[in-house]
Amino acid sequence: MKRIRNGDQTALRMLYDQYGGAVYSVAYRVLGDHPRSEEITQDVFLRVWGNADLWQARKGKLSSWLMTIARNAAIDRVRKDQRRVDVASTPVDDMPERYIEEQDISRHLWQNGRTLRALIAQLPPEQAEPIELAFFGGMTHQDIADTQAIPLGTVKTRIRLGLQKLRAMWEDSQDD
Amino acid sequence: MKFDLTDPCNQLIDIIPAYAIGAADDDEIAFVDAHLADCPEAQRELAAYNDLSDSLLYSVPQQTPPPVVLDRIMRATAPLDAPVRVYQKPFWRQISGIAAGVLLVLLIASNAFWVANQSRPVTNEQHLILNYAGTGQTRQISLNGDPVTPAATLTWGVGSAQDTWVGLFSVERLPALERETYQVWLFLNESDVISAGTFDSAADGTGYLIFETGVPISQFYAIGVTVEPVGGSPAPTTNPVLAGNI
Repeated sequence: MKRIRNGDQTALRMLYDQYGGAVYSVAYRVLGDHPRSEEITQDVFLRVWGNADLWQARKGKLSSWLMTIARNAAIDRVRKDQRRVDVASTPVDDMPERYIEEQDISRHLWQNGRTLRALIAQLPPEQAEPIELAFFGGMTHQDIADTQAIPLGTVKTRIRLGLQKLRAMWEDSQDD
Repeated sequence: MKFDLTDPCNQLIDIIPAYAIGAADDDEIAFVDAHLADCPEAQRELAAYNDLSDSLLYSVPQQTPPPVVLDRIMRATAPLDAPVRVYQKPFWRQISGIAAGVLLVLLIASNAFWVANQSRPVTNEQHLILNYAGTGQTRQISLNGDPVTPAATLTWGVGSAQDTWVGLFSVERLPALERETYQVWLFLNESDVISAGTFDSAADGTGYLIFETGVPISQFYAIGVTVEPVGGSPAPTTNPVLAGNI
């Protein structure tokens, strides 16, 4: 990141080689189409190029930072396009993995992610769905209650119980 | 929502999971932000759910972006020497106000002469026309691009009608675009730029554009090429991938 801060384009390319796929994958998960996901990916790396100072190592992993920027940018894009994210209508299992093996030091993170995806599938749908709507759709408790016509308290309970269960299963899987 | 202020730390524990994944509403976010510093257990909970949230990012189906995304990023961030000169030394500052006005009028009047061009291979015959149909004033310059687009030339001469100038822009090693097109721009100064037309790069990286103008091409200060939507744009919308002084 220091090299990028100094305007080293080669360093930006290395960053892209390492995390471009991750950024694109998150954008595609939120947006569900390739053209807008390409735009978001481009925007994320141009934002990094112009504001490399924004990343602070003590605040977390670089990959998480980039993917969070991508997720937020994609959610903003959905809002800008005035279309609600309907995560339920684009089931994650229907999204084919289009991944070419490449330089990737994050392989274990992707493996963990696949494990987590399998664990989410084990949650009751009424808990998994609002969690995905919140995380990948940028919806709050109130948004979900409004769009799903469910009492606010019910939404809160489902998300809390679902995440508690997911965390417990996740920690168990890490111990194995 | 009503919060139990007698035991905020206990209540935080309930809100933290939703807070970590971005589901909390504004009042809940404010409540967490106000009390988190005083609740060590809630801080540990938040750290754990933040880890879960980070892992959720990797739970998405893995995708590979098409190569064009990297191309665009590299083009947008490439250091370009020539455009700097364009912007630092505007042509119009080097000539008198009257001359600039006259030239601007000529440019506006010349719009009718601009021919919409499309990508097409340049035949030997067209080369001959360009090089010999004029009055022997053919000139050629080389343009420098970024690492992706290293070679281009601009050749021009006076057309057979004597009041038109014909330009041949040719380029090598310019990546083919899938959903966009290249557009050639002629710069009178920093703010006055005119499209010379659009062209597509072939699979072997070569591209050509022949264009005409009612103003001597040498009157232009610089030439640039940008990536634009198919059909071209009224004005450049991206940074030049190739540029040079005329």
